[in-house]
Amino acid sequence: MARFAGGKAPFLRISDQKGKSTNTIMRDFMIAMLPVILFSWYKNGISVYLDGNINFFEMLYPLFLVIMGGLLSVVMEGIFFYVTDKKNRKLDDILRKLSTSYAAIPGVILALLLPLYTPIWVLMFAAFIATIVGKMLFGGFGHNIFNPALLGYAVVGFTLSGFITDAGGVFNGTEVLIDSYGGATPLGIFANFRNTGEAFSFAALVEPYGNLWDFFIGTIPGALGETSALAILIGGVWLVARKIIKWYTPVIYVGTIFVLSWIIGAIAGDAGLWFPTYSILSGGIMFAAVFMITEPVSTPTNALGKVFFALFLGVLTVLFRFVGNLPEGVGTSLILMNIFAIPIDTYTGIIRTKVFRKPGLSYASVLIGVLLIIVAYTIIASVNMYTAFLPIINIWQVI
Amino acid sequence: MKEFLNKKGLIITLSIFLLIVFIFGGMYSRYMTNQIEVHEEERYFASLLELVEDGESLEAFDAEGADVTYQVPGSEDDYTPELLESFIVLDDSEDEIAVIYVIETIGISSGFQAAYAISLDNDRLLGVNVLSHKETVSQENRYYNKLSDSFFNQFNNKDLDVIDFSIDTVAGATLSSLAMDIGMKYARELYATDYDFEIINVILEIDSLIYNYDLNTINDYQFIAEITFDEDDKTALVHLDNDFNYVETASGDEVTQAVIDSLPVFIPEANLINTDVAIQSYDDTTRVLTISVSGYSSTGITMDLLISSSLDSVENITYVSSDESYDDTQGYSGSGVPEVEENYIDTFNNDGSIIDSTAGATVTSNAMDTALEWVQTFDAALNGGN
Repeated sequence: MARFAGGKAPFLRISDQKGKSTNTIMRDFMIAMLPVILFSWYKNGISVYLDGNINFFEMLYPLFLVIMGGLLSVVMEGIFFYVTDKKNRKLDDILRKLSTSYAAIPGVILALLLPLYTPIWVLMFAAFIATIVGKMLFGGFGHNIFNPALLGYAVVGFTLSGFITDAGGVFNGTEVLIDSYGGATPLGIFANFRNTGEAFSFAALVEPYGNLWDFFIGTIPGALGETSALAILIGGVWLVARKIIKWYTPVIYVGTIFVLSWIIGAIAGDAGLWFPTYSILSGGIMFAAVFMITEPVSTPTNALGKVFFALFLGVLTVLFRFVGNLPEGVGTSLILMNIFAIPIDTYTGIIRTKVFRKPGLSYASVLIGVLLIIVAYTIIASVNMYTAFLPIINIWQVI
Repeated sequence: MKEFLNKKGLIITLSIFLLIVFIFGGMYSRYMTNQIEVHEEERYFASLLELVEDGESLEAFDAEGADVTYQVPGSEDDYTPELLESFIVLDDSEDEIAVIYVIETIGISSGFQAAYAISLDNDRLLGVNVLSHKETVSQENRYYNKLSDSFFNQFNNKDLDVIDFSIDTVAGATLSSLAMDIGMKYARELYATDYDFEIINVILEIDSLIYNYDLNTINDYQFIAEITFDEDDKTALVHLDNDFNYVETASGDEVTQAVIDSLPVFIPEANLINTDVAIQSYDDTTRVLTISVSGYSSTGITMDLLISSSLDSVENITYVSSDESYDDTQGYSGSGVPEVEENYIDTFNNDGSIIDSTAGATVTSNAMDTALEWVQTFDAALNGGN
């Protein structure tokens, strides 16, 4: 007999995991993030310590930052529960609420999105924005519009990034010694090329950091948790295996970015696969694909909705990367798409139920039409970066 | 405990936790940031110590400074380099073995900072370490990037007690080379002041310089110079080879060894005549004088001059060889080397005139121009100027 769930997402298929509560999602998410956390600690702490470039206490800082991110979110949420619910202020009440609200996850994700030398007070502020503003003020878990961690990250990025840079920034004790980095992350170099209009080259974008294998493993400079595609993929496989996330959401998102980057590169005269591979392995695309765009509350719930959500997100990420002011593009596009999660969910719900009828076709046309327009604009807007486009533009003008 | 937490204790505990994280976490963050500076300083000192083989530690000291000026590369202005820091290097027995001066000079732009290490044992420059600069590095194998290991090796174990205390600059990175050359010289001045090191000082003035056009002695020496030297204004007429090395004194006062050593340094700097033409040899049997001239290539163009049987004129010129190359990107459209050289020589042999410069081969043309003007002068000298 068919069973239906009401209320807000997430809807856990208890029948698949008997005897487990929503704690299961939280636990599995934390397990999935373990490879990422451990790799970021190894890369930014342990290996640098083993190289003799930092001392023991400095070695602990990356791990401390991640643990603090989770703890701060839990504590802030606990205080919020205490302050807003006068009838349930006992320790057991607070703990019960915390156990069903994924309290630690936004803080942990937040810490993994931030650079190594993020001051603790900045992390506290970010955790406050993520947990209190992004989540609890909207009604708590299941009611937030934006991804809480992303909101905290975005607010800090726009307001306090200077403090992070002044405190030391993104490079660990070994990376600052590597001349070829020249004080820039891969996306930093990407932005320089984009802004100057020079054609991209493998030698300029990839070789300073080794090769694409280094990008995949994660031995390149970047925020704590975003550099290792391998560690993220291990976490992603775990989440898929545990049926916490749908496999196609990250695949479609990453695939869209890969294909669009490939097209842009091909039009520019460089059809090498290195460029789309570089595109998906630099910045926070892989991390977002597994841990953020699969967030159950602020993204569509039905399968078609997830497909469209990932497609739009991929196109917008490329658009913002190639055309926008900031080289990352992931956070901006995800925040924007969080706003449209509910309409997409609604429209795709109608499409699924009335696929061959007029309303279904209309909504499908609208979604596909908007998507194609953005795709076309993204490719055309990228023209500024590529001198190879100029002959095409000239012909166009003549016509 | 649980009872305490169930009352007011929970909010107090959580708030105290936040406060503790804020205070101690903040201290931890500040410690991390401070450690960056500590590590940078450690690396900086380590990079300085690498210049001195047995150096174990550094001790800062106040250098007395030196009041000397140098010409800003590529400009007519003068400036005094800035001494940023100075260190004494100690070995594992705490003995002073070297001194390091961190000096800022000017290359293509200001802010060229480098450390120069000088041995206290043997008054030698041990090496140089470029710490930071704003030279052009945007193009691979151009500008500052052209400074290779062979350039930097010039600074290793370089004796301070010589007259020609300079390094060979690198074409295409001349200004950056000069920044380090000046830094090195300024380091020697500082060292001389701090450690009573006496820099060789030669009083020498080149009054005139001419080629030796006498076929009887042209193989023995190629230049003749009139010089004034020492504090007593002594004078002498000296004979020199193609590289301005001293050969003999023709007349005048006896020249000192310091003056002899200084001649190859002072004469090019005097810049009295164009010395691009080098007299290679003269065969009195065949009456052929071989000369060469530097052009695009330093080894240049070689040609033979046939002297008349009466030894009073140049009968004709024969092309011998050329290491030149012409630049078709600059408009050169003829056939390759030695077309330009032979055009010049053929015309000169025919009517004694010198043709106009060839587009795309300007440097080679200028070299031929210089060589043929030299031949004209030589020819005039052979027949007494008639």
